[in-house]
Amino acid sequence: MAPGTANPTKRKGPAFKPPRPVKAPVQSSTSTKPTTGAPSARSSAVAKNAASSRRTDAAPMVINSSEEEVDEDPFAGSDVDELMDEVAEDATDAIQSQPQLEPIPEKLLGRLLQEGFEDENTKIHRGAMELTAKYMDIFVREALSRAVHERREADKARGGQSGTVFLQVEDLEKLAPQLVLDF
Amino acid sequence: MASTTAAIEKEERLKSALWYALGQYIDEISLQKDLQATPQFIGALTELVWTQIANTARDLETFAKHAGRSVIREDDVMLLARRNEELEEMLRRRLEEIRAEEGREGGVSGERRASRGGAVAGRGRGRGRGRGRGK
Repeated sequence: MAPGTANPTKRKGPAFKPPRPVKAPVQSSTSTKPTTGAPSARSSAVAKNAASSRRTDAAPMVINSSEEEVDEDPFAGSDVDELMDEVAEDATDAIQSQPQLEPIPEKLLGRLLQEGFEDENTKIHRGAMELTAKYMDIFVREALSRAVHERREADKARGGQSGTVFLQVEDLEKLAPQLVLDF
Repeated sequence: MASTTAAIEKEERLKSALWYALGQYIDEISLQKDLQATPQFIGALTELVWTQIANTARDLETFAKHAGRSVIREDDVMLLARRNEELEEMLRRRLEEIRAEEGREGGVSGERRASRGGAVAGRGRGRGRGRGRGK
């Protein structure tokens, strides 16, 4: 994840909601019984951050009871989870990190809106104009970050590298219907 | 005949302006992020944004008309986000900022407002300025 390390900006709060509080009691009860491998593995994978210290205590115990393969799972699973979270957060970073840039100059947007009115006498209040600018701003940012997401997914499916993202028309084609529904 | 040609020409010019603006914006992003966009992508994005602006303009006009006005106000814009709560929240925050700015600038002379407001819509300027002072 080169972009993630290169740009450690603030991350949107609600984007990542680990279900730690819910899973924590389950994990503590199942870790005492190493034979029930699958549920404990999944819960500890999700709650790894919260209970990492407890996990390191429990891990040698499990290995001694010859359940190495089951013990392997939580760490592999947690790695995959973290990678996917990284991708999602990078996509939101694209919108969040540059508040000073505006995709469409206000003058141009005002002109375009005026062109769109059917009635020539329709006017727009200044505050409303600024708010519309914000709306279009969000629209463009969202389109871009969704395009980045689409491209990363496509690259991943093709087994390609996660280097520079080359946005193409097909990415926009995939996201356009949902984007327009959301706006 | 001549008028339609002029209209098409005007549309092309505006679309080019939009294309240029979005291209600049993506260039700026590419410098900060590890991403590139094909020219076709920018062109397609331009079409998408163009259509969205046209739809937005007609929606806003309809909302204002429905409220018996010919001037679009902030409330009309908020209606754009009626189906998307997160979007509504973002716009609401921006609206509060705008209201706060208006409150501050209301005390100062209207010259700065006029220079900025002039960009919006020439005909709306006088009225918008008057309101700002009144507050």
